[in-house]
Amino acid sequence: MKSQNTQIKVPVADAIDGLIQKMGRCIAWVYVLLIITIILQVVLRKGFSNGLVALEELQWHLYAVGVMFGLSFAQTTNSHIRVDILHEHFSAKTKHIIDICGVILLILPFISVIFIHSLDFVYDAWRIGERSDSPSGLSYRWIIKAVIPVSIFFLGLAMLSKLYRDIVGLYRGGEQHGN
Amino acid sequence: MEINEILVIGMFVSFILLLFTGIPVAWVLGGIGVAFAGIGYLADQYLDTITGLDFLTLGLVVNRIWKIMDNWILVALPMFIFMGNMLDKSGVAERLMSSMQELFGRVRGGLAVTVTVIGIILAASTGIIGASVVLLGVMSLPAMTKQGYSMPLALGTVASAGTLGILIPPSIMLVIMADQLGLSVGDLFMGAVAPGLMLGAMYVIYILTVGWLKPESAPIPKDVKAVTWGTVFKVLKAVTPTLFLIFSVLGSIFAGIATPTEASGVGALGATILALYYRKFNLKVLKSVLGDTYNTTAYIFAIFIGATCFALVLRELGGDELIESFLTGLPFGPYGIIFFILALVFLLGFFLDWIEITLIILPLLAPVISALGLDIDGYGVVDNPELVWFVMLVAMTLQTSFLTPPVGFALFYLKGVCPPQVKLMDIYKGVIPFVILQLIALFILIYWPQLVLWLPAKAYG
Repeated sequence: MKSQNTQIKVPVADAIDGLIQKMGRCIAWVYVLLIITIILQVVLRKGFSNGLVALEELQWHLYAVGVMFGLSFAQTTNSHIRVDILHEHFSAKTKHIIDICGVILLILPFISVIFIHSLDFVYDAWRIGERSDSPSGLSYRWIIKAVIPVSIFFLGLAMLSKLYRDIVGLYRGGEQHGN
Repeated sequence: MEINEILVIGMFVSFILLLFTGIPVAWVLGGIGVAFAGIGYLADQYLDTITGLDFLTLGLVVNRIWKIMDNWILVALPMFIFMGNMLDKSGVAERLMSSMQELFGRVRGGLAVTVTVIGIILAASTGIIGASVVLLGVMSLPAMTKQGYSMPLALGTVASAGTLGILIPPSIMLVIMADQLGLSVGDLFMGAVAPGLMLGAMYVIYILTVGWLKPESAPIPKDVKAVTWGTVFKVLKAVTPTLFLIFSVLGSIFAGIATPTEASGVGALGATILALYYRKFNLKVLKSVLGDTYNTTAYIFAIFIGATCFALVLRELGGDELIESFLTGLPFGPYGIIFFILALVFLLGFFLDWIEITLIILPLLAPVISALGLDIDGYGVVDNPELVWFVMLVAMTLQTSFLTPPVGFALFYLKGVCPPQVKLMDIYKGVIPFVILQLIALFILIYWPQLVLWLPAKAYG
């Protein structure tokens, strides 16, 4: 499942993937923050019987950032789960053609739908100044909601990079396609 | 047949067909959802159907993604994955292996028993199938080859022991199942303790029996040292910190002291401290653990997001009721329907793994099970006892999905770490008895639901 993109060098696509991976390695630290937040909350709740709603909400905020931004990272490391019993026997050319069709017909429409609708979703939250239902909870809910379009944008970018990579591969005669 | 029904069937058929193109499952699901929403819209325009699907309906996918983000239970998921990755890097398993091997050295099949016992401990601590299979394989296969073990027995042991992680708590699969069906994570964790240990015990009994019936398949090494108190002490020393961590994480959930989310955070910290204690912790390890956690969590959630789009469109087309009425309409009686469903899950397991089955199939089945009116005794204290029990049946069945070719993840990982002379046929031959054991365990659970429900009932009673 975990195989790196060992494909032929494609400068633009390599730069995009590199950027997403670098960004991912920074964002991955939210999980360290998450551990610290949980421990802090446990200590406050158990030790001082005084848990904070804001800390509790911060936990899923952090988790949501990690999960959503991870999508594009996992795309560049080629980790998304696939059934490859037939795929591994296809010729490089067939693989490229299938992947190009897949990105154009299945993936990009799906990503576009989420992206377009999530803009309204964020805008509504911003317009009404949505905040946590709990009085002591976190406000500015539009910020965490904005994670959806931003992270999906990067996923789309990773997909375009893959698309470009496959098209170049197809033109070059598809020598040494990875995995 | 109505257009709606044709579209529902079309969704499942195109899902199965497109799976084999090798396009990632998450995007196949999402893409089919969008495509069928488009087809439904066109049908409404030109064929006078009323699917009600259009671009606006698809906007609900965003609300569903938000429900996944705004979810306090699922926060436990990356934390348990972090804990597992960190323990994997801390070298706990290597310590256990070297000390325990001496303890079981004189028993016929002792090495294979050691692998199973460590598999159980890894399952309760790391719970990461790929890492467990690789670790057990790398550590034990050379030794078992040297001792002259029959290859199928050695390979089957490694693959099945490494797969226990998905069943024995804290298992990320059970967290997701609890989220999908609105059950308590604690109930499912407690429910899985007895089935998980029972399955592990069945593996051990099987190995010892084979060693006894066919001594040549599991020879005793010639130069074994006698077991002394020193050996026992060494094993205890190696196993205590890990067991302490497992018991504090699970114990605090079972005793109701901590929520699963809190326990997962504490477990992640505990694993880090353990790695520090074993002098395996540094910045490079932390970065690598973070990277793996980030990556693994993401590819699991990608399927969440794809499946939510698929499920949304399926529901709009009336697919839920269609499946429910089909299953409840089967002329088999309640247990017959359960057998039918489990057989289906078993067959799907040849191609799909637990993530897809849990996220697509399980939510469709829950209302069917609730409607069967089964009389499963929850001792009056466990909520939805029939669902807790049913989830365990599915979890047990999904054990097989790791071992059944052509798409068995355990086999895939095992193949990667085998000595070169091992043939794929040996692996297949090796896992057959263990798949049979898993099916026997499944029948035991069907017959005795108390195995699942006794512990959660005791904890509340």
